[in-house]
Amino acid sequence: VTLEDATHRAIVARLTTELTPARALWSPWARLACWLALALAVVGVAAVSGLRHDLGVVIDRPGYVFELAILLAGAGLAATLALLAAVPGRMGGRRARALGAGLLVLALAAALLGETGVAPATRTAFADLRCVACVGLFGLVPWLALYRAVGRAAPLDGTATALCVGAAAFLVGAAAVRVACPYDDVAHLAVWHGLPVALWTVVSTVLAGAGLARWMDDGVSDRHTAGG
Amino acid sequence: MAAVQRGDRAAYGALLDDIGPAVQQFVRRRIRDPEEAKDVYQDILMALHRARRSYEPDRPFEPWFFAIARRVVARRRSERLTRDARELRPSVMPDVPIESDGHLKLALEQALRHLSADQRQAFELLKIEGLSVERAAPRAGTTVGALKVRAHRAYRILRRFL
Repeated sequence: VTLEDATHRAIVARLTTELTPARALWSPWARLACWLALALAVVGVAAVSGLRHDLGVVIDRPGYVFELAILLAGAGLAATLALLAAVPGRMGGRRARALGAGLLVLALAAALLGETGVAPATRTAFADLRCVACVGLFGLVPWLALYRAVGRAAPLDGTATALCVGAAAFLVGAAAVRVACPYDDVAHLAVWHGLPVALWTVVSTVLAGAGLARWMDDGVSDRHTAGG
Repeated sequence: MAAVQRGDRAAYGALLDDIGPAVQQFVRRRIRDPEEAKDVYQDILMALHRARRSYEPDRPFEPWFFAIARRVVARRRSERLTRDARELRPSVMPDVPIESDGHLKLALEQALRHLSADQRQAFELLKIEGLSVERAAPRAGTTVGALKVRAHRAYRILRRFL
């Protein structure tokens, strides 16, 4: 009996003893569909409860709809990256590059093709800061849902996955604020809607990045429970 | 693997026996130190155990499993690089031998003989390898609480003999 055989037998005995049923997760695509439904619901809530009273009119403008579509498509792409990255072996380099390039194209399109309304003279700093907070608040529920969905799987790179989770959630926040906020000028959109996406994404990545990969350090029997 | 997700222990044992040689080969190709390779081998199988819920039954097993194995090896390498960077390595050895060091070493060796195998392992993992209790416990194949008890008993015995 070699040392390696003895090691193997010891670890196999231990793991088989501690084995409990662990129901397989839904596929990343099914979880993505659920998350997108939640994201659309958040945008719907923002539309109903927001300060924009001309939504019925602006929704007919192609530029406005295009902007919303870009924000939601970016959120969907980032969520796809996060959910695939949480399943070992699912995210090859080619697929990651393609999805990353898609995100970049959407960001450029949003920056170059967005609407360019005029800033109202009566707007206060409070209104600007309210948009920063609202991007975070509207993004919070999608963030919690996606973080939970990703955390139940096995993300191998916690920081990169957390970055995708944050980007997806706070792009939904930005889309929600876009339908709730009455201002359309490009400076306001870029600084008070666009930058908060980056800000909240970085903050959430710093706070949650290490936690996503902690499953590799946990004890053997404390991660899965019967049927869980 | 689908049977493993349902809690089938026999299937799990068969799966681990089946992949064992491939994993050993995989680790040996990447880790030269045999002791470290043994640890990494165990870490990979434990990571498989913890990640089992993320396996999709309708997809091939190997890409899923070896993605985990590669990550475990990469983390181990990264930890070793960090540890090596922190360790002090004197560029010049001292001319004068430090007598008390030899005396202490001898006394420590004698004291360690009074420990049981489990107590000695707990002491080595926590005080010589410098692992946290949380990381040392899986290595010792026990719980955090049990490892703390072993370490506490080991310290008490060592205090008596040093």
